[in-house]
Amino acid sequence: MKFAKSDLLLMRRSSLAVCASALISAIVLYSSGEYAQHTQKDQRNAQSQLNDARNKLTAAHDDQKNMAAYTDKYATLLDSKIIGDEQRLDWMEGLGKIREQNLVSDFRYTIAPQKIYAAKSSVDSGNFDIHYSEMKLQFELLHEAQLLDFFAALHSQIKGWYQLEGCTMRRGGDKDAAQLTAECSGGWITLKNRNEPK
Amino acid sequence: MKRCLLLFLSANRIHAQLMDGGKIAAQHEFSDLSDGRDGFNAFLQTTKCPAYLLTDLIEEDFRHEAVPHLIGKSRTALFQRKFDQFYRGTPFHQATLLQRQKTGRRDDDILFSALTNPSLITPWVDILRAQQIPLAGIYSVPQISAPLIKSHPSNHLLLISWEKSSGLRQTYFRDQRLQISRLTPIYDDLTFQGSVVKELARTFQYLKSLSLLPSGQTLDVLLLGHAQDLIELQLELPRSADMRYHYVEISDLAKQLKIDYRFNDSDASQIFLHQLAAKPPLSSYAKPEHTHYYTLWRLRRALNWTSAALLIGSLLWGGADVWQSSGNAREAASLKKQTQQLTNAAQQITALFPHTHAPASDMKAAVSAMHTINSHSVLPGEILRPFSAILNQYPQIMLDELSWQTNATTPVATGNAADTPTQISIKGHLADFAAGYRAALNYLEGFERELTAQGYQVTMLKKPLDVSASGSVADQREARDDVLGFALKISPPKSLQTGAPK
Repeated sequence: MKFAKSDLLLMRRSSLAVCASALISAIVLYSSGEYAQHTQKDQRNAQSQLNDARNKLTAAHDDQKNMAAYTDKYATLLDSKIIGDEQRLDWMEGLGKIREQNLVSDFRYTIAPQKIYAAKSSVDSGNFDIHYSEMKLQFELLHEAQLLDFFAALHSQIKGWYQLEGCTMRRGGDKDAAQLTAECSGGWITLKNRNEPK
Repeated sequence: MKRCLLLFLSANRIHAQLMDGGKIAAQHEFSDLSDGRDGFNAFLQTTKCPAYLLTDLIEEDFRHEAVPHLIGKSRTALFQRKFDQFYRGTPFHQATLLQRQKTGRRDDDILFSALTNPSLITPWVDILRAQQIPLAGIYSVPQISAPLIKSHPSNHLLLISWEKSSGLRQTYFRDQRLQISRLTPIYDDLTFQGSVVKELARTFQYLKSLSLLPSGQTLDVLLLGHAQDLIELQLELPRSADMRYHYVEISDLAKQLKIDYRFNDSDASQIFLHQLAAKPPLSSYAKPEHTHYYTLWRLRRALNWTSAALLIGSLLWGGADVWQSSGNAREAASLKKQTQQLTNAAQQITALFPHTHAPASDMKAAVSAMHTINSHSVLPGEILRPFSAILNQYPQIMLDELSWQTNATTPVATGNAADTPTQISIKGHLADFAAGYRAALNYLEGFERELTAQGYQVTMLKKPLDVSASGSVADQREARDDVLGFALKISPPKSLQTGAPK
């Protein structure tokens, strides 16, 4: 079938109707699709915000419980200067005072540079980095009880936490064969909050 | 029934009726004189709907041919050759497949037919084209008659009808397939009944002469007419063994075909016109140039339907989207409300918190971490005091070296001595046993048993004297005390493995 120019005039209205309806359909579909997408996104965001709010409420409840359970213990840690920067000078002064008390015949210590505490078993420390300053001690003792007295004094008189890992006591010493010598190893533990300004 | 224009063309006039909803909305008669054509032209100016042209003319010819069964271009070319051969002078021709033969080459039985006097048709078709009327097709009464006798069981049937404007139509069907048709004008001096009686005998002889009706075969004659005319016909028609008459009241047939028209006489034109509008045959005498505006009309209609379908579809789709989205919007509003309530509740709780050095989670983490670290720490007193208490029971055991090591990197309780965090190693010797080896070994074994009884796990690293069969032993008289030296590895009981937090 061949079309003449006059035929196109006859078809004009129907052709325009198809074009118009296609355009209107496209606008309707696009608009409704956009609206659907917008509401879906809004609904997803609202769901996400609700989940956040639930988590915050749960966290608030947890904080409420934790606040009651841990405030005093945390204050103790702060007071003991376990939290914060290491107090090496305090440790040295404390050791000096213990020396003056003559709890042991003699002792020497060396404190190594601070490093990150590398415990193989996992320790969940939250926002805190656990620092470890190794300190080795060498003793000359009259009897083994002096060693116990020394560490009791170290824990009670010096602020901080000395993690004792081991000792070796041997019979004999430089001055008198009846004396004991001992070598102990361990380190000072400090917790540093990562979020605190350095 | 859709709105359409039905045209009934006889030799000297055309009847036009506008159908709307199955009823005649308007109807006019136009003669084939110039006045009539002008009137038809004027009538069409107000009527722009699809038109069906039904012809009832004497000048319609039928020819049967058995042609090879072809398809595609070959079939078209064959038919064109036949049309050129039979009906060179008219464009109004068509070929209808009656059947395919079941034997031999299995040729096609084709009925070639044509309206052989185009001058009767062309002027009207030209007017239709000039008025851009969508002409659906050009049909003939015999062509429309065929569906009416489909259900009749007779194999040799003659349908007799009367059309007021054209005359008596006799159409012969064999095996329900159109074979020939004759139109006889009825003049004023002859009644319908008289014409039937006269022409029926002639047609019977004609069929016999063409050998269309086998010898001895009874011809079923189906007479279509008004009840009164049929009663008269029953009286006038001669009784014959060659013919069997079937009388069909035209109003009954109209009712059967759901034609809403009141018949006052035997004129069957309305039956054929309504039948044409209801079920137009697939083929017609019209050529593409005649139905050009009908094709355009169909195209326009398809475009309009497409437009409507697009609009309705998109509106439905969009509506469904919006409806579904409104659910999402309502849910979002509800979720926001819940969020606000939970946020308020959380704020109320946090507002009551005392001023602290750190967030509660940080406090918990710090305290928990220190608790874990402290649990790996063992104070010397906790290790030494229980061990010393046992050692005091064995004064002949002299310690030379004692060491313990806490391995904070190892889990506390695995049940294996080697894996315990704290390990004690002692080196010493047995004093005052002289050469009493057996007593010395028993003494040391007693010490081991005591440790084990207290929950310690003891591993002998070095024995004072190796008396096993695989060892070698020498005289020990000259030996000093430290010959009875030994070494033990001891794991304290679990109760001493963990230190208390500070």
